[in-house]
Amino acid sequence: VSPVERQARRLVRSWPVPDRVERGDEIVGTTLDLVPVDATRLPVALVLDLVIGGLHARWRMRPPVWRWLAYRMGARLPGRWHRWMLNDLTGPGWRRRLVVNKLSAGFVGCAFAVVVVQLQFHVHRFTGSQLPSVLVPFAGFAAGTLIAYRRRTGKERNRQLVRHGYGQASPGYPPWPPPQTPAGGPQTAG
Amino acid sequence: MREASFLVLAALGDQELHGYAIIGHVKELSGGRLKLGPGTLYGTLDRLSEQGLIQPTRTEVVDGRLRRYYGITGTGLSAVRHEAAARAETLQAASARLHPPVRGALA
Repeated sequence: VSPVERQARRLVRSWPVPDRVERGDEIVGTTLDLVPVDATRLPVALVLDLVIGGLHARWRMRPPVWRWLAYRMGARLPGRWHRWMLNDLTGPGWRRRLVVNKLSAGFVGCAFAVVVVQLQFHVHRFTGSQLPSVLVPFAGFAAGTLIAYRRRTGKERNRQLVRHGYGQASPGYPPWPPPQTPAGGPQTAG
Repeated sequence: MREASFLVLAALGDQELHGYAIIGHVKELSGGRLKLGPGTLYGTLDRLSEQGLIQPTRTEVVDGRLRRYYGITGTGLSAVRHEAAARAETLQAASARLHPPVRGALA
């Protein structure tokens, strides 16, 4: 592998995982076609174009914030975002993402509870140290949530896959590009 | 329709092409003005595929590099023809204003 190809493959990591799986070799091939055979590094303009293109592809692949929130709450995503959803649930780091997302929701809930408790204490002019009485349940709840979700992430993941119409065992990504309408077959100009 | 999309569709109007060839044809069609990079090219191809205007037809490996060929669909051909006609009309109207008959021109 030449240094230029190594550099191109490194830059293609800016693209979403499904794109890398399906088209990474093609993108690298086209990039290498654009530089002279004896080049040792990619031109800066090409580097920027490749990285910005990848980041743009990541952005285009993601659902909008409100759909993302609904999905995190358990709603079903339309087919347009199934490639992102499958990567989210089956791609590298899916367990970490699921745990982090659930935990972050748990922490937000805990923080809210702490604020409410503090306000209540102040209102009643509670004397003495309030900190342990708030922190202990907080820490207990967080630890419990962590253990609980570490145990059930697999089930959670499978449930979400089934909800979106996919089997539980490693479904892979939907075909790229999406299926064409019957009237849209390839043809050459007449 | 964006210029890059229009030119990619125009390049695919009469033949199937792979990524590198599309870049060359777009450069030629634009008189060297538009040089697509791989990031811009594949972003454009993604959008056109999602809209059903083009679709990949076959792949081949040349010198160890994967090449995927793209072809225009019937919908794509109609869209690019419509766009070309609209652009031609605009160009004609603009030219008429920029180059009026000698009688109407100011001294």
